[in-house]
Amino acid sequence: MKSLKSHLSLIIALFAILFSIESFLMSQRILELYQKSVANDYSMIVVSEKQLEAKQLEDIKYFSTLEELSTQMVLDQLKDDISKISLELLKTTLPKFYELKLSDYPDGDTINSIKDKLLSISGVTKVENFSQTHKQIYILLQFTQSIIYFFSLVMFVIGLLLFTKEMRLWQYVHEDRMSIMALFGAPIMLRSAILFKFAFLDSIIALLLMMGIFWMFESYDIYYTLQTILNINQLNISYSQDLQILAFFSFSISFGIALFVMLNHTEKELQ
Amino acid sequence: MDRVIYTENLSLSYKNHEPIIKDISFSVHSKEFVFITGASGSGKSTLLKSLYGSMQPTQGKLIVGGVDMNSVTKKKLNFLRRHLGIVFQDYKLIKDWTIERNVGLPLMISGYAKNVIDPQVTKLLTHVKLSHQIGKYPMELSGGEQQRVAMARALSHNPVLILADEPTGNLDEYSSSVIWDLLVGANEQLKSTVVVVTHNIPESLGIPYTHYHIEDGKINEVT
Repeated sequence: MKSLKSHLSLIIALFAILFSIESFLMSQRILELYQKSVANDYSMIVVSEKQLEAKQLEDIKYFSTLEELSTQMVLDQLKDDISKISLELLKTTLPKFYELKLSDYPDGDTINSIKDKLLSISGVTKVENFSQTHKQIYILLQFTQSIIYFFSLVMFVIGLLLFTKEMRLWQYVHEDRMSIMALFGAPIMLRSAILFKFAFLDSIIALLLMMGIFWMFESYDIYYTLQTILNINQLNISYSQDLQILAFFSFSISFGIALFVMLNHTEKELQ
Repeated sequence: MDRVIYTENLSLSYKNHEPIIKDISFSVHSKEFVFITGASGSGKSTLLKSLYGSMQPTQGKLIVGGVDMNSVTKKKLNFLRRHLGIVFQDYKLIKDWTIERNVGLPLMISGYAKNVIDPQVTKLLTHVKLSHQIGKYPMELSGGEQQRVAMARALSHNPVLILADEPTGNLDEYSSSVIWDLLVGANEQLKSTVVVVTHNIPESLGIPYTHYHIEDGKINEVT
């Protein structure tokens, strides 16, 4: 019963660590997609007296596409109010309008530096970057990201502290056994075999619990709901890839701490 | 005769303390049965500890089974310990292991397979009259029975040297006589060298033995 309790404490701690890692991975993935979707919707308007080519903008950070906006619609609206000659004159003097899209969603400073760079191009007279709207969305995104990262980190640290504490208890519980084995000439690896056995077993159980969480997410369409709320597509969840990452962390942490306990074990003075 | 234990001007002390054993020299030969007596705190258990490598000499020479304990490596110490049988006053059994597993521990450490360990363990538990207790855990046995399990463990790998620290200190008369019989049997039949640290030497051991007495950190042979 005591041993079961000790195992359970260890599994819960390890599970908390894995859950924090998975939360981090998921939120990062979702936020990246959301950022991309916001970036897709975001564009800058460039007004230029000269024809602009995409080639001229290639060295601009996050540059994705440049599309010329037709002025025909504006001219059509004006054709009843002004003379044909004036309209023709307007057609020749009207600057060219471009929609510039970015590949990512940068911060306000980067947006301003892009604007400055665009204005330095010969012929460009005005750049509208919709900075106010952009700034609000960007701050909200950063804030959400920071909160998720903070909670993941807190959970990770608490899990790690709990796990280390449990391992210390383990060390205490197994110290007598390890010392007795040492008296009969057991090499350190054999003495500590039980620690590694438990580390392996508890890692597997914690991973199985995480698989249960994946199954729950899948069954209750949690990702689909998130996609709908955030209005994003293509949220590809690769459970096998995540499991590999979690297995790596699970085994590394548990074996790492078991190794730490093993190396710290000094033969207890047997009175 | 070969010397299993050899000491020369040996001193032992705990960290930052005065030596508890001072400048002693003695030898124990192969197949010898030796008693070391002394008052409480005289250093007899400390001397025994140094023989199984739980304590390093402060000064002088100590050789056990051909291994120089002054410069012994962990690997060499493990090798030496696999040829020792150690018995303690408080048994030092692994509480969450069955008595069979406890008895088979030295054989498991030496790398024997289960099909070798199991019959040997059964034979030994029968030898110490505990075959009816197979499957039980140490805490389910009386003190005398636990010490018999510890004896069976010490004998399981036919050790060259048996070191016993007050093996009958906590036992009643009957259990004590069983333990003495087992130690004498190991000395006579397995040809093991036996070193026993004790307060009291049994009156009728039935075999010749050497008796050392420790007093004021010095060791003297009692004739």
